[in-house]
Amino acid sequence: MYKIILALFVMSALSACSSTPYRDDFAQHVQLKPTHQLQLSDITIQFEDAEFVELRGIYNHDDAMSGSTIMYDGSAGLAGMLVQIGAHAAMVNSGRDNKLSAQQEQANRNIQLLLDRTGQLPLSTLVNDDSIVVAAEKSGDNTLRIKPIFFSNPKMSRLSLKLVAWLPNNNKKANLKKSPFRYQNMVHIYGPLPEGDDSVLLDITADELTESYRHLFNTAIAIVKQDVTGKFKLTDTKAQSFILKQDFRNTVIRGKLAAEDCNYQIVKNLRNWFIAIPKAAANASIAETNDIDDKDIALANPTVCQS
Amino acid sequence: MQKFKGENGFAEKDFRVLKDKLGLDMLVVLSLDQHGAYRSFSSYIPNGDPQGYIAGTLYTVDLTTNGYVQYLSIAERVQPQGEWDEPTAFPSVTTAYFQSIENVKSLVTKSL
Repeated sequence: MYKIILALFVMSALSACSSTPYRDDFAQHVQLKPTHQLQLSDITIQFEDAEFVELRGIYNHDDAMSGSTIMYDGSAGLAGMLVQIGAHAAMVNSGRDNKLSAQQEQANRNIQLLLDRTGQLPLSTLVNDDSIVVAAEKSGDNTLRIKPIFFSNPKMSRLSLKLVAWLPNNNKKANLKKSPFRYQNMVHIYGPLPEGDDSVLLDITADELTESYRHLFNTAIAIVKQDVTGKFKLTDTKAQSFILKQDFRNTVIRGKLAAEDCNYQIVKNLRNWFIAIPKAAANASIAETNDIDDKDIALANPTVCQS
Repeated sequence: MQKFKGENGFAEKDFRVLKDKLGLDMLVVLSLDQHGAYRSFSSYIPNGDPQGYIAGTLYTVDLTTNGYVQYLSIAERVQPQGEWDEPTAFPSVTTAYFQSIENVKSLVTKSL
């Protein structure tokens, strides 16, 4: 009995003292029913838990612990054995959370100079059409709640944005605990990747840096608006691998091409998120990259681009 | 192809017959033995998420001697991004698997 109590104590103590890593850069996709699609002119947006630009470092997701073996005490009986396995599981989970949290903190320290430079940049100043932004008390059923999280690579040369957007479930008969959303999805858009080892985002002017945030933010909002108005019509083609150029190792985006223009390929990935991949021609400079606006997105048709 | 009775540093199969048959000096072989998802455990407890996985060997054989010019063990594991436990499609693990394939393609290209 003593051993069981001790194990329970260890398990609860370890669970309590673990760091909590960020997990808000993730969204389970909830498809908006075709009959609930919005009209472009009716769309308003509300910033949820976000007033200023939130910038984080890109972190390593690998939270695997080293494979150490552990001996269980057999004298405690079956119940004691189960408690020991439970305590061991809690230790491993706690260790994994601590590792991921430490990696996230380290990633943020790596971009401290850019964090200082960005300061407190209000999101409302970045929106092209600020008439669509409403305060929480004025939001309605068709107000898109959005939470943007910007990321920088460790070199501080490229920004990306994960924008989670959702519509609350307004069906009075719905179980809101089980289905809190009528729609939820995420857009992940990458800025251009400059060549070389320079920390480009530290070298550009404050206005140019603001422009970089503004471009990503407005393009992501435009993609969400296209999604909730049913503009993306995907064919039944098979998923394929799209390559995103990165600093060290290229990243695979697996999914279907939803749209493209001269600057971006927009891929609907296996999780139904929209990933905007800059084309090679757009990699040179964000200043030469046009925003995608409400009318620009072609439906997976090749677009004639000026060289 | 017949076995080759050589010492360490020689291919296990006798590739020399390909020299005249195909008119080659060197043969590059990519042999992938395992692929799918990889998960490590500590006793009964998983200590990591299932990862995209591909493993095998890449070697180059001199077709005159059947000796290895290059030998590389490959064990590419890719951590899925974010939540992994999403049945039935498991999009994160599937993407990690395709990422491991691309990583091996890149590794092979750089090694040659």
